[in-house]
Amino acid sequence: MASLKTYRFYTGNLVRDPYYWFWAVFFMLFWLLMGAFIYGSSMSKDALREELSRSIPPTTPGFEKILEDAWSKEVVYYTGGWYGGIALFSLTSVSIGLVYYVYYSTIPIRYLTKYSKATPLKFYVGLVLASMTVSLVAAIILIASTIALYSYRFYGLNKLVLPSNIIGVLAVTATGGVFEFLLSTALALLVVAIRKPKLLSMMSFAPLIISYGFGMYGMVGGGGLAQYSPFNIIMLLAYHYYTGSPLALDLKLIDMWKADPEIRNWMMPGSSIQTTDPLVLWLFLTAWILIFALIALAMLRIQRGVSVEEIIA
Amino acid sequence: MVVRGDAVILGPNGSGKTTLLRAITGITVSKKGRILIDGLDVESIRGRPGLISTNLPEVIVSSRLPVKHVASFYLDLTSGDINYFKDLVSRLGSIEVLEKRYHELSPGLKKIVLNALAIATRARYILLDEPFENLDPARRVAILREILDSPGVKVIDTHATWLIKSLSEWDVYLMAEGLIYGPLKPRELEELKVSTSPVEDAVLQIKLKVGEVYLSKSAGTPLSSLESLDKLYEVLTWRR
Repeated sequence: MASLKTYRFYTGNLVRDPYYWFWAVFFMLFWLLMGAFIYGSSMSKDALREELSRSIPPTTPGFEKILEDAWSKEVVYYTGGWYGGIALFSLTSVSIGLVYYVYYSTIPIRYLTKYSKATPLKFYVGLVLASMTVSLVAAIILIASTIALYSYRFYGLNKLVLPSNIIGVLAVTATGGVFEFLLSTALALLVVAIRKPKLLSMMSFAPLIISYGFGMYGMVGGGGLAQYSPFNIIMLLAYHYYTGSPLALDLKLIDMWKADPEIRNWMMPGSSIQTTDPLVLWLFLTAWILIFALIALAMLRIQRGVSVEEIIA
Repeated sequence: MVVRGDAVILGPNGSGKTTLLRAITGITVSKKGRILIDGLDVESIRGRPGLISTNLPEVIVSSRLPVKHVASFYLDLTSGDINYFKDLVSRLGSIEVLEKRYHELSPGLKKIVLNALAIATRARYILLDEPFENLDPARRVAILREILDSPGVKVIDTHATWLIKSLSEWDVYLMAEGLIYGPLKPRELEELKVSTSPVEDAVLQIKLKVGEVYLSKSAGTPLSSLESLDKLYEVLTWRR
């Protein structure tokens, strides 16, 4: 009951937060628009026909069917790539707001866990659920916008660019919400524990800076170890469930289409790529969540001695 | 210091009154000594709705929700009385206050909301930090009446000396430079005299950085009336 109250209270707060709507939703919608109409302006079936004809002569029987399939795949991979990146950055934007909420809640939580029915665990369960909910709200708006914008851009709304596994997309978003909450908690409590309230502003932007760093590297820089960061895993899983594409961790996200065996057969016959089971990424993400949960718990213990004067200063 | 009944703590700015209330609630950790509430160390208290309530602003979660939702959240969790809270805020402020966000309120209305929240919790111990600050005289009297009528043990820290007459049965403590002295009954204060020289029958001996002052019935300058109780602050911030 106390968890439910906390959940409702914080969800009510977060959905009324203009910061959340601007950074986690509208700013991401802006980038989705850019992806569809500016960065994707050079994408066309004719351009693909020309590229495809380098490996398959246009006179080959069934060429048009292959072109149609390749175009569908290119569109969904392009769309999924944008959604994966946007989902990550939206979750990170939620995280920035949460750092402040957690930081400024440390004293009220200390008070309420002493003199109310709420225990620290119930409180944090409520907060985690609230963070998952607002992440899902943002995700649903962004998924609907992605479908509408990219379907309009590439098919004039005659065909929809739908996620291949909507449950998977929502599951990774909700799990990403849990990760972002724990990351925010760890950072907020770190500020409290080291008694440097002036670091709060800088610390609140840490998730955004780190996720942009890792995310952009994974998207356009290269694959490799960076893909095992929690930020990249969230982006890759969101991409995977949107597109249905296999994942190859050696590839950057914009080249992930090469992991599709059918496309490889058309464009690069004879090549092979090592793909990764999404379950492995889920295990890594779970491990990251556990690591940050432990850090947050450790910080909770350390911050016991902080004075109220420093927090409210 | 042992508080067994209603108590008021008088002291000048910076004497540590608010810090004392924070320490009693356990939201700030005491580096020395122990605070026991009904025999329980405040550090170990968990999940005791209705044991303590306070009007300290830092216990309120920063929120974008209207006051009525914040109050509902708090009073549900602490088993308080939301209807009483709404009634009190409507009477002392206005019904519109309930629809506003806490940070949009004036200092006086914020104080009314915090006082109402503390009283509406119906806790066994109600700790009120400067409950009359920023309130006009009519509202001071109204909130004092609510405090007096509320069940539970009340502990008030305040600068306000006018209220002492209304608290004849309360214990009065004096606080200066982080130390607390007392208790006294309000009527005893009327009879006290203040001296900087040692007095044998001193009721209180107050240690200040600049020296000691003695409150006694026999020697020194009389604190002749409650209206002149402000003189206590002159004593507590004594400068030679």
